Amino acid sequence: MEIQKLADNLGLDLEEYTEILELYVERTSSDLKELKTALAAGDGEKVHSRSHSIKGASGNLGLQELYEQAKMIDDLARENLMEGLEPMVRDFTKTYEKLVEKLNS
Amino acid sequence: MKILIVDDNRASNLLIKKVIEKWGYETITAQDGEEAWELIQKNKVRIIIMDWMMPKIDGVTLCRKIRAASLPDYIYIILLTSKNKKEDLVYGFSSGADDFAIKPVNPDELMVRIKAGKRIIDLEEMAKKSHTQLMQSEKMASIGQLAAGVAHEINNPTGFVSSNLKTLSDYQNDIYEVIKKYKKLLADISVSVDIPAPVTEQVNNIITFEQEIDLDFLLNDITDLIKECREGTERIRKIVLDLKNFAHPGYDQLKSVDINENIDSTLNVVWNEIKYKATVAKEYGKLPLVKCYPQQLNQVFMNLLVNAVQAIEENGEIVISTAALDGHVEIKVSDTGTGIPEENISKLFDPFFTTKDVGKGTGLGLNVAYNIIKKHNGNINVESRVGKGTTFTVQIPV
Repeated sequence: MEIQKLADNLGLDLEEYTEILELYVERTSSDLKELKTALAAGDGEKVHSRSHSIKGASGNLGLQELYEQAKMIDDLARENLMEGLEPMVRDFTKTYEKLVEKLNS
Repeated sequence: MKILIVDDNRASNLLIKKVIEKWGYETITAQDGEEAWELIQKNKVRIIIMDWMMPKIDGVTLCRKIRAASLPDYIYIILLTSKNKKEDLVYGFSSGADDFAIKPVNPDELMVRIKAGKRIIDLEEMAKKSHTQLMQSEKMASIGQLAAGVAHEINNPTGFVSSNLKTLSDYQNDIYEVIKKYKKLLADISVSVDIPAPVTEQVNNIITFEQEIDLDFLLNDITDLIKECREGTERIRKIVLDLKNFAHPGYDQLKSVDINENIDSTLNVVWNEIKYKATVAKEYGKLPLVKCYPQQLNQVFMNLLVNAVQAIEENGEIVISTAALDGHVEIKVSDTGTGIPEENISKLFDPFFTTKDVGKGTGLGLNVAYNIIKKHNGNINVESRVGKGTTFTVQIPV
């Protein structure tokens, strides 16, 4: 999704939305790192809380795809169903990195 | 009014802040419940948008804390959450939240929920105002009752003091006359011959005694003393009358009068006070007869005129103008006196408000005037410039 369109949807101008997006990336990158570590360690609680946080922020900013991917991870992690999570996290990371690239250009 | 946004995710926090500010609201933000609590103590926060899940103090706990504290104003709380099960909603509401918004946050939805919150806040403001007014009315009513009671108690003894002083004054005149006759007798005896020795002795004793007590001074002073006492009781009578009017604005009869005539007769009464300090210019318009309580309106005019002349320090002018306007009669009393400072204007008609020294005024004059004008369904307004002068405008419907 184009960043301008995302900004328009929220009634903000490009500059404001970009500022918010930068904060989002800062926080989400850190959340994602912790999530991956927790997943490797089998810490379902931590995976749940990080994915929940990512889900919330992604949703608020109108990043629909990231929101849905994070939501799937969150729902499974909440029930401590850790098995299918790795590919989901990978998918999320791919989509996320595309966003970061777009932002940096 | 400030809106507080509490969310531990800085991106979400900033987003909501920007979105809300676009609608013209003032915002402050916090990253967690503790920071939020600090901000609430120091700012006029009326609406809070807070995330449920937060580190340190979570949304629900903060809600409870706010409701338990006695803060000066009501705070409308909107909880943000992705929880949407009924039990969660019930739990959230029972902790004191006013509303919920399910994440992800939709700006339009947020706006209407904030608007709903603003309606509640406005209602609370109205309730507070009404309460204050009610308390003020009750206070005034009980002061009025007290004043009426005290006035009655004071009137009785003042009445007979005043009456006795009048009698005393009459007696004193008679006594003065007879003393004059005695003095003449003593004078005649002093210059006569063939007066028996005992009589001469008495005459001399009397003359000496007169000098010892300074009889002439005494007699003059008695006159002054009685005069001052009568003036004092007159002042008491006036204050009591003002107080009674404050409690009950008069038992006058309705009459149709030409207000210009009323003003003239009032002017007569206060002329003595005015003539040394101010010239009076009359600009009377042709007025229809007005049905009113003439004695009470006279009291209003008297208050305005006396205030006008008292505002003038050495010399000045008072202008009284009247005009018939659309459905009402307008009377203006202007003076070139010292003027009224901005901060006093709103207190002008309050009972007991006065800028005079203690004992020099009751502070009731304008309040009584205000009540009388209101009784006539009229209006009274003031315009003033410090150093230039003041104009009171009274409007009475015909």
